[in-house]
Amino acid sequence: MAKSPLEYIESLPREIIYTILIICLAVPLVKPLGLPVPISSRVKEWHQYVEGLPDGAYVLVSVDYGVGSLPALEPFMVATLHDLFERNVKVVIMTLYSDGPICYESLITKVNPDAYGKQYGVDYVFLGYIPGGETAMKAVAENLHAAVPTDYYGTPLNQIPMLKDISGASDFAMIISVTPSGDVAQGWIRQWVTPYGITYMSCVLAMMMPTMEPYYPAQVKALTDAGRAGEYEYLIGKPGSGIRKLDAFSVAHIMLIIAIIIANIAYFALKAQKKGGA
Amino acid sequence: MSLAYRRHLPIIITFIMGIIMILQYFIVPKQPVEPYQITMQKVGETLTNWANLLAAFTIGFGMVNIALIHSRHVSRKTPGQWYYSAWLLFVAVIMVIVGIGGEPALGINVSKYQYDWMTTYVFAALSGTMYSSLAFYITSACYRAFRARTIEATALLIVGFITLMSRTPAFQAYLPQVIEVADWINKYIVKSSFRGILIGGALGAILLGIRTLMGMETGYLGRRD
Amino acid sequence: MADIWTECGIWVAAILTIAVYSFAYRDNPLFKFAEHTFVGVAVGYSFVQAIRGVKTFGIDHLTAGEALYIIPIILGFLMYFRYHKTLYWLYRYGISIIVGVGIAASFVRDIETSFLAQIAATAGINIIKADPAATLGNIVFLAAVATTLYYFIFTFPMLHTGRAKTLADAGRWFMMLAFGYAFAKTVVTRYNLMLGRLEFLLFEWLKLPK
Repeated sequence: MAKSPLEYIESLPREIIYTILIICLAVPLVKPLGLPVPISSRVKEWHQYVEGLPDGAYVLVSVDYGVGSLPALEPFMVATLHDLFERNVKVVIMTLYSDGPICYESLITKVNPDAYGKQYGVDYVFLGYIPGGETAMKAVAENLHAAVPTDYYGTPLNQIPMLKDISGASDFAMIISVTPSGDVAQGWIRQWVTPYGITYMSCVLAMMMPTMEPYYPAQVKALTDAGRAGEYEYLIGKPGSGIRKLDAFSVAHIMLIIAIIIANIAYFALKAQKKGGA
Repeated sequence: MSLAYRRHLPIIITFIMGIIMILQYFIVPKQPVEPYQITMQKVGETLTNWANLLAAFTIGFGMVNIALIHSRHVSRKTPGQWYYSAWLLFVAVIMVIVGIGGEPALGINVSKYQYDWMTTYVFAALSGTMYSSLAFYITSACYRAFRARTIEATALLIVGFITLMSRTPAFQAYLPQVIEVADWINKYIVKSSFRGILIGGALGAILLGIRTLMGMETGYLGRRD
Repeated sequence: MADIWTECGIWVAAILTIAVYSFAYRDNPLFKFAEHTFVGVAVGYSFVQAIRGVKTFGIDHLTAGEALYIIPIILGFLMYFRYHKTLYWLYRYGISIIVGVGIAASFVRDIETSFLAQIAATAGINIIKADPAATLGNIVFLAAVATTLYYFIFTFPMLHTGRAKTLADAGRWFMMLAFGYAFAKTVVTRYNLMLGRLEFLLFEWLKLPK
């Protein structure tokens, strides 16, 4: 039996839904609408904490994501590293994900520390993947040199100028983690914030924000989600992938809201029709 | 006797490891001064590093598991599957060979370009795409299932709409009031509910931890003997 | 030469991306091929990282003179016996160290982080504020924490019956509103992920102007 138009709209074939979604996401990427970029208080707060770092401060940046969530998290991480490299701070980068090194290679190519006059081993270093999850965080906090004998490239840590006098968490002014995992984000609080009181800034996927909210602002000083990368890029004047996505977000979200409203109208209209028919 | 070293001894080891870590937490201050504190700190650090090393071994389990399952498909020539399994094993072996030759820390450095190529254009591309394809399903789920059938569902829908609007740059720019409403919901309803869930979850996790250390939860030991 | 391989790589990545997305329309051999390629590459990469981890965190310590590291190295290799029919129990020694250390390191700190600190933060709220919306919000906040915790008390069934059920229902309502919020955030996350891949297809593969 052929479907009525209302029935068809109420149970629209998924192929049509998917095609509309792709158009709504792709077209604004190619032809931006030029909508204004409002900057949220969370991003401003994040930037303020980075701005407030004293000269020579050590910052641990943990690239706690794998290649699966790289498209979502990398723009924010790139913007953070741009912000850090503009200052006279030492950046120690590590990862708790086995495919984190791939993400690091992609990220560092985009950031290009050479453009800031930063030298590997003097201004920044990459420790590579440290297995163990929370026990890795604990090990690095207690005794960096015992936990990580060499950097990602195989150089012993005691031969890396910026790490010679670093023993553990108490030598760091800040820890920044960008991760899709609530467990990892919470693990840093347990192993670095609670015992050592280190300033902790966490960027998670938007869907993990509710699970991290209870820790903000007492334990997580700055908490934001990766979808705000465009705002951060705009704030620090380093436009990139994040800003390009903002117009696509607008169109796709509006499309979804309209689609749900249409689906509900169709549902109630069908219900009324059936009641009237009965 | 055999149960003693197959089951009981591992449980005792778990208990001892746990007790040492707990003692380290309670006995060792931030700056250990007493000899027993320094010893305890050293022991704790060593065991933590051992655990990390053992965790490194576990990453290789996937390869062994997959190799066992798919080699069985190939040897039995499972219809409609065996050629996919053969391809999978071939790709895995190539990745291992290229990786051993290209991973910087291993120091061999003969296939760095090939390793980077495979990780960037095959692994990263596939992984990112797999994870992102959920966007399709969530959209069709929203369209088909989000109905204001009951008061609860309507309330959920309204909060969802407000949140979505607050994360839409167009609304942020032209209707900023929606951000204030969403922020209020986040600050007072979301944060509080998730705090309640967090406290309850933390209680559960702590109790599960104690039960595991005491040998009452033995799921990590695998199959029953 | 490198440029040809880079271009080749971009085409391979694009074809694999489209193959995975084709599953959204229907299951097909191209998707199966991409799926098996992904699993193969992923396990191969993980195995390489396992080798690197054992070398960096084990063998390097051993060659530096820390002889005790021979113990976890041996236990680590014994862990691979989990796939053996009769000697599977050998893997339990390694896993018991991981579990013992990991669980204890986590839960002792969790008491402070996720339990005491959260209770202290809730108890320390100044309810009355100059802004009426904030005052209302604080009252709602305390009510939501209390009723959400109340909802999860299943030990005494009478707490979920009769008049007492109102408190549990209130907790359920607060959680539902919170999950509505979380669901919308999930949509944002998924679209963010998909936009990343679409950017690759449009700007790196099709080379459309940015």
